[in-house]
Amino acid sequence: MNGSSKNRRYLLWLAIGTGVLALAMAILLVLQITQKRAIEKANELRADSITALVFQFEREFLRFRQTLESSVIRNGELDADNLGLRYDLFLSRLTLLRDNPTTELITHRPEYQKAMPHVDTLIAHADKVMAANPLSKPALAKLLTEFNDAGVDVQALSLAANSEVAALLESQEKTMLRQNNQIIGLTLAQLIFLLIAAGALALRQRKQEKERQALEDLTHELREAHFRAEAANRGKSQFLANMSHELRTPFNGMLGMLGLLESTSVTPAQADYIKTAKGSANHLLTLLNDILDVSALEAGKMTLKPEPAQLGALLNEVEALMRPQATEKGLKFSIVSQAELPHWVLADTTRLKQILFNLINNAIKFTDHGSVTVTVVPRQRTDGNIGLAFLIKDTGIGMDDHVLSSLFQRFFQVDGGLARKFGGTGLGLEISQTLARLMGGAIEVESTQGKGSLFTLHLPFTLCPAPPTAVVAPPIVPLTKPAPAVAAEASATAPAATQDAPPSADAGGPALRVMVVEDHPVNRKFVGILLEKMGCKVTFCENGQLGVEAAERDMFDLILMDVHMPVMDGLTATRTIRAMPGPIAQVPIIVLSADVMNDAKEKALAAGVNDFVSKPVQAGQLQAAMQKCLAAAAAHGSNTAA
Amino acid sequence: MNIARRSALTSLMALMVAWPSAHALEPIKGKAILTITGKVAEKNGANGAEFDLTMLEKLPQQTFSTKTPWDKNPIKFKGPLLRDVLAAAKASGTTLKAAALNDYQTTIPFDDAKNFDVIVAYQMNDQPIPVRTKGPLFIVYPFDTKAELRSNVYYERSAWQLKSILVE
Repeated sequence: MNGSSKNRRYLLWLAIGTGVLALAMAILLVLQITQKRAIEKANELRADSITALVFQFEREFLRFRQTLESSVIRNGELDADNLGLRYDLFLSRLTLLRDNPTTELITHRPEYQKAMPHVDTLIAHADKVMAANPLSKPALAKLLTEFNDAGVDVQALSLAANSEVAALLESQEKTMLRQNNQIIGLTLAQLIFLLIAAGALALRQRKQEKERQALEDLTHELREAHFRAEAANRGKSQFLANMSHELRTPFNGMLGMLGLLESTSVTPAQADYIKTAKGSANHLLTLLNDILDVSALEAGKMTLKPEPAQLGALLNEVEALMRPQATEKGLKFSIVSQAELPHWVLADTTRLKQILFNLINNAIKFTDHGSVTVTVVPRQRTDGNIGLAFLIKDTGIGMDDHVLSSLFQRFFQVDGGLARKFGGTGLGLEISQTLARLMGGAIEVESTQGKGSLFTLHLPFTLCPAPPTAVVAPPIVPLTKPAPAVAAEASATAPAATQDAPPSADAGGPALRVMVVEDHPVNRKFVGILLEKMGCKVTFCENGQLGVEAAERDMFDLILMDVHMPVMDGLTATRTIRAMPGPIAQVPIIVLSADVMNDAKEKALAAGVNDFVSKPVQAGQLQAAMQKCLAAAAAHGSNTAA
Repeated sequence: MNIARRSALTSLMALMVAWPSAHALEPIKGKAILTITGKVAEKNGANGAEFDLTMLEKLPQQTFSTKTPWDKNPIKFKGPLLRDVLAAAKASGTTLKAAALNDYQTTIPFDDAKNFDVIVAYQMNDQPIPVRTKGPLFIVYPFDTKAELRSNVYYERSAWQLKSILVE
């Protein structure tokens, strides 16, 4: 039986029960009203009782007869006034007896039917006798005998009334008793019915409680299941992030080595191979970065870092980077602005460029001939804010509605064939859209199959004044240090462990003593080569523990520290060094990390490092960081050179 | 015996001299139909204040029709207000004990005379009331004017064939 029919049955029973109760109450009500009427009638009878009327009548009859008798017997003058008064009172009682409606109770009795004509005859005679003036004694004597004769009938009338009222009261009593019994029966029935109904309700309540409990348990289980699923998902994301990190480490090495290889003397064929290998590696890096971004976004660890930026310069940069791709495919490419752009706005340039690169990349990828144009249209501008729309229009293959509807979904790729042709992780647009939303904007798209697409990136920007010291273009020129030194050729051959070559005091000041703590041999080698080019004297350690030991032994001007290492990780090593006695505790430490999660940098700074350089390490970045740290240390004072 | 009678006479005369009120109760001329005894200050008879029909007719008259439990139709009553009758006798007290020719007795709170326009009726439907019906006098409450009056309490106080009132 399902719930709704059960409910209907319950309602039916409820209706029947209510009906029965209402009916019983209605009957009770009728009985009560009947009883009330009976009581009222009994009251009336008491007030104007027939017995009282007949009794009063008989009384006045007897009093008049007595007065009459004493008048006849007594010698002397008659008291006509008194006799007349008694006669009048007797007559008034007779009138009342005749006129009163309650008399109807006894009119059917033979006693009444016999007595009344008798009294009438008597009155007819008495009227004549009483009217005489003066009264005649013999006439009165004769009247007395007639009154004596009537006495029997008058008394019979009293008895008749009495018995009639008694019978009436008895029958009323019986009726009342019968109705009382009915009321008792009905009340009892109601009581039983109520008890049954209450029992049924209690049963139903218990059943419902059970059902509710079951439902609650189910909800609880579902919540648990949901929680487990979420935990599993988090685990997966964590795995993805870890995996990406693991992938990045060897990857850095590969890119670095390829870069170094490029700068050596190779045959044109070899150069071509290297170029191809580098292109593949770059592509792989793009894919890897996408996965990392998604992991970060999913874990909610992606935060934006807005800083003053010049949109014009940013767009120039994007154009410069994208133009070669377009030209390569024979496409016209341009970035134009419909109005003058604000000079300085707050923007996370890295992420903004990422979105633009993704959208323009897609446009170029899916366009075989024609053009790709980027138009910047200023939208609403309020106090201190400006809305901009970046319109990326292409004349490519376009999309149908089905594709459009699922475009921004994860792993979505334009059908299988195209996916094979164009490649990609299918994460790019999702990342772009998520980033745009993080920035308070959105990406919209319209497209016609075969005619091209139009992607519109809407973004709000906050205007800001130019930064006090205008950001200088990063010095991409490497190779100089506070104490510029010529690379020592010997150091390049030393792979691991410490190496205490005599300081090469060739040019300028003494060589900078740098310790590199890094477990990965390829990275060690790459960073080592970079440092040698900067003229530093390098000491290598394979893990944090060895790094700490080296720091106890020797003095260094700078330490480059990896984070994830066996035996002791970089952050623990940093904390240990910072806790050491002596000047070594003040040594500048730069962390080199492939961690992409935003809190990686905070953790490192909290551990006591001076700066954070993300992998893959770029020569310019590394050098800038080193210069900054050394300058700060020098300003701090105690920087004793060996 | 003589002395007693004489002293009674002198004391009566002394009383009449003592209260030469403008509304002094006149000596009764006709047949007394109502006697007020007990706490009455104005007496014109041996028992108290006695009234004949003429004296009652001289008091301010009140006429009203009302339904009664004793008849199907409303009846028009006429007579002086009970409080005027009591005032004429300079009666003061808390209760009135009304007695009827047929020996009926009922107790009426003195305040009823103040609170309601109770009359001592001597006419019903413009006719004198004979003893053969409910006469000669009938204490009637204006039953139709107030719902509270239509109850047994007041029906019982409505004495017919009224003969005398004892003021206590």
